[in-house]
Amino acid sequence: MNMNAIEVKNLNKFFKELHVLKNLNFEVKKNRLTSITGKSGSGKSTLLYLLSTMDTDFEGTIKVGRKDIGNKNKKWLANFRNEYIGFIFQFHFLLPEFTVLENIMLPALKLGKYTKEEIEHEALELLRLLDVFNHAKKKASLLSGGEQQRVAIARALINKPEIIIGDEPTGNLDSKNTEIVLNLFKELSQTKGQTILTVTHDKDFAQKSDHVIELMDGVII
Amino acid sequence: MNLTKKWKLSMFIAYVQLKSKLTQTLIAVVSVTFGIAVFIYLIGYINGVNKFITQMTLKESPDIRLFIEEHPSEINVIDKVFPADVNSVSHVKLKNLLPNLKDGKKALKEIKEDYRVKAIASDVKTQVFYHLGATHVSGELTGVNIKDENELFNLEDKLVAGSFDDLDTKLNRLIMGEKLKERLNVALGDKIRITTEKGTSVIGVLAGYIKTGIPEIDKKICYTSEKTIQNLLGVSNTYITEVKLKLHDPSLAPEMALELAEKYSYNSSNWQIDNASLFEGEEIQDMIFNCIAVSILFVAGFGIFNILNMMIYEKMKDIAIIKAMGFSDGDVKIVFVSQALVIGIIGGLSGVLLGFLLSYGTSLLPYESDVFVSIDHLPMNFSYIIYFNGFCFAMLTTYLSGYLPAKKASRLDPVTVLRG
Repeated sequence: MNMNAIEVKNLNKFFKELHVLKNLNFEVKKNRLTSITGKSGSGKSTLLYLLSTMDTDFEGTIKVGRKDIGNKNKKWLANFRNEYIGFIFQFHFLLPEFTVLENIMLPALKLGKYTKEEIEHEALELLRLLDVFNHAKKKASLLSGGEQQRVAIARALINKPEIIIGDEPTGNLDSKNTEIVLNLFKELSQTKGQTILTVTHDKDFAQKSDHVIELMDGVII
Repeated sequence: MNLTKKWKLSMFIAYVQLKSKLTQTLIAVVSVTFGIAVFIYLIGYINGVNKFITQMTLKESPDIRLFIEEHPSEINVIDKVFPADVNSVSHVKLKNLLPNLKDGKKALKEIKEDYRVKAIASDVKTQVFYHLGATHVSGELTGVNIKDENELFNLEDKLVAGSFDDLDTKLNRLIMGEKLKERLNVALGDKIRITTEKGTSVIGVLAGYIKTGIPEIDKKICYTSEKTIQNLLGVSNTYITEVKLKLHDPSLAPEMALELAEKYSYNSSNWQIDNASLFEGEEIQDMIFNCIAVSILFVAGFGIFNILNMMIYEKMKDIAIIKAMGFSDGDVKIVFVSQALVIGIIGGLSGVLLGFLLSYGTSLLPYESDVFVSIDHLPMNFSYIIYFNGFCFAMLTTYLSGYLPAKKASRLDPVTVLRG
């Protein structure tokens, strides 16, 4: 059985003349919490956008969940993201006019696997887990930065994706909430069979993850 | 994911976004509303007036006219006699022919039997001068059988004063158009001297006057009995110059006119030819007003285009986010197109309603006209086609003005936006 959630082979990424990612080869193991660290400008976010299928302009092979994501059309990629990948942005990026609950429910409504009631129930569970349950009916724009970030994490988890990708998901959280999220991630990877890949600057966070990939100037060290 | 669910979700997002931009949305809706209302009002008004004028004119115009119009023959007699020579004849004139319909009375009787004919009348027309003191007013005297003429044009309804009774039994009785009567300054029972171009003259007595509502007719028309004119011209009582027909189905007129002209070798004309300028004018007017109305709608369309475009600029980040969450280009397109359509539907419906209310209000306004006697308010057209077209236009312009921004939004690359 293949134990790799993500396989990257000979990955190169250019921004015009600039060689950002240089011939990367690595795997992300299933059911693990993997962290990518590195200085800013080392290509972490670029790598993350590639792995999350939002950026399709690269050379080499990327396999996510054993599916090669090169040469796939936009609609296929959109559906793939929706079902298999949960993405947590560096900044929360919620839709400000929608309520917290609606924000979380949207990806699941898009997936359309469950009824609205089931989705709502699931979303409320996640909110309880992340301690923002009281704000469920509020407009997303009314929450504090930390609260919004937790809502964004709930949104990434709603479809129970195989792979959760985070771009500094705890960057805006205090140590207590970082602890909560970290424990949640560990629990998800160990008991729910989900794979978690995050970019982080937090040394503590990196140390507690199962595996660390360190990038420097587009090369793994 | 099935199609209705997909639409429902995109529409939900569209709805929340529209609601959060309520002022902008309302402005867009109002601009469509006004565009459609003005469109409906203008078209309804101009159509109503045109239709009214056309109907009135057609009522006063026979469906088919039969008459004689002599033309000099194309081939000279001298050419026939000396075909080998080069003959030159300039300025060919007609010989002194009478412009009457040969066997007119017999033709009249025959045509009357035709099942297509509703009413028929003959008349004798001649150019005359009315003598008003020292000045002469030129005009046209029409000798008719007043019963037939009445059946054709409903003259009784148009009689302002006097009566038709004497016309058939007594000679030299006149029924004038109201404007002509005023011009000649005569009252009922007054006498007026009439001279033909040949110099014969007669003293006419005003027996009544009519008002058709069409100024051109009221200024010109003067009826007398056929016999009076036949006497005046010194011709027999079979002398008639024109046969006029009304048909049960006026659309048969052109075909039947040709058929009759062929059969009796008269000249013919029909209501379409007689009123060609009217129809032409109407068409041009319609075109101009349609252009105005459509450009109003285009302005409204640009407004929507602008608003949606701005909305997309403001929502660029949100679009990137929902794309990152797995919404496809198509989903995003539906979001913005459905916003445009919602604006179109609400704006279109309220525009139709406002247009109707404006039209209805106008149709209630009293309108007195000296010219058009038979109306007391403005004739608005309430045809459902106008309203249907207005609504379709609203949908079309809003769809088009929403489609381009929507396409732009759907093509947005989330990475470019999110990376900042």
